[in-house]
Amino acid sequence: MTCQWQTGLLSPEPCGGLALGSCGSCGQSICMIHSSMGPSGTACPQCANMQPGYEQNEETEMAGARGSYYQQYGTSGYFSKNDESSVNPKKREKNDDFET
Amino acid sequence: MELAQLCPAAQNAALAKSITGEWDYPGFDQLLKELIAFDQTMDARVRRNLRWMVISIILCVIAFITMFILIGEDYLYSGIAAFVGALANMIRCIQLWRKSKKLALPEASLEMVHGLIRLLRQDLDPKAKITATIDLSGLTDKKKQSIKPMQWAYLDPWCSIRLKLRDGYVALVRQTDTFIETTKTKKGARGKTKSKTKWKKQCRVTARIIPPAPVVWGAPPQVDRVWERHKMVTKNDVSVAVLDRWWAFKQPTDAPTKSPAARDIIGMLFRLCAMRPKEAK
Repeated sequence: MTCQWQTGLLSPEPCGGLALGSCGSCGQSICMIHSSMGPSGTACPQCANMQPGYEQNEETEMAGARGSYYQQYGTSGYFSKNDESSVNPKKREKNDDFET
Repeated sequence: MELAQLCPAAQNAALAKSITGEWDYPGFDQLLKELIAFDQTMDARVRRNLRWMVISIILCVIAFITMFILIGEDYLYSGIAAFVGALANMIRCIQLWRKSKKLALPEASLEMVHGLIRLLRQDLDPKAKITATIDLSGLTDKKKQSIKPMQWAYLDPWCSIRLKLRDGYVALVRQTDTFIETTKTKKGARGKTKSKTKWKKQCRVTARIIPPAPVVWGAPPQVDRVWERHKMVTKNDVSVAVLDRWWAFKQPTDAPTKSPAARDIIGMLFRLCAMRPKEAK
């Protein structure tokens, strides 16, 4: 299984690294680089950024920044709903518009 | 961080007050971090030297008055020695202040560039280099133009960065700052002349997204009609998406030091990138 975390801001791409576990909050598979430890176990950068008590690093900071852009400018055009949902687990859908 | 502690590239950039060349992300990030740390040290030194300069001027005035008192009491040489000492100290303090001021860099500008590349680091093509031309000399007489009597403009196209994204698109960011200095002079009833200087700063940021091949762009981005302009430009048969944005800052007495935040510039690139065709994904 590969890491489902979307890296980047302007051209998001899945990390593709070897997943070693899944996020305790949203359930997506994550690799070691994109996992943060906290009170409820392992979390993806976005869940770690949104919940208190999790270790903060560059990835969680990036996730927070990316979420604010999606919130301000939306996902029209190029960015798929899953790009947004990758930083907002509540909006996550099973089928990505652009994934085949 | 002292000048001697910087890496050779950062030393050259600090002395020449310009960053020109091509870097990979870690190298450019390190260069900017060192320059920001150096500038923070210089800013602290400028403040400290300014304080000492003010104290030395006060001491010099006191020594000047004391000199006459001592001369009147037959201590001629002691009075002159005290004044000359205070004067030498004042000159030295002024020299140190001017030297440290000369080495200081525009901090807000460097932080903007650093914030920009830091947030976009995952989007960069790992094989491509970051091309940057950054002028850190600030307001110089070369950039000064007279608009009308008692009003001057400084045109400072200080920043140009070219980033190749991992999907083949190229992001270009250019910033031009225009400063307007206005001096008003007023003559009072007693014939005393008073002058007042006001500064205005207008920043223009142009963000461009250049596709690797001709593409059909999507819907235009949301723009603020007052401060932003969106247009498409054709260059070498390739349609380029362009977004211009303006900011205005005002400050009395000194030139405004505020600069647009990196997040606003990334927001511009984000909206332009949203225009890319879905096939690119």
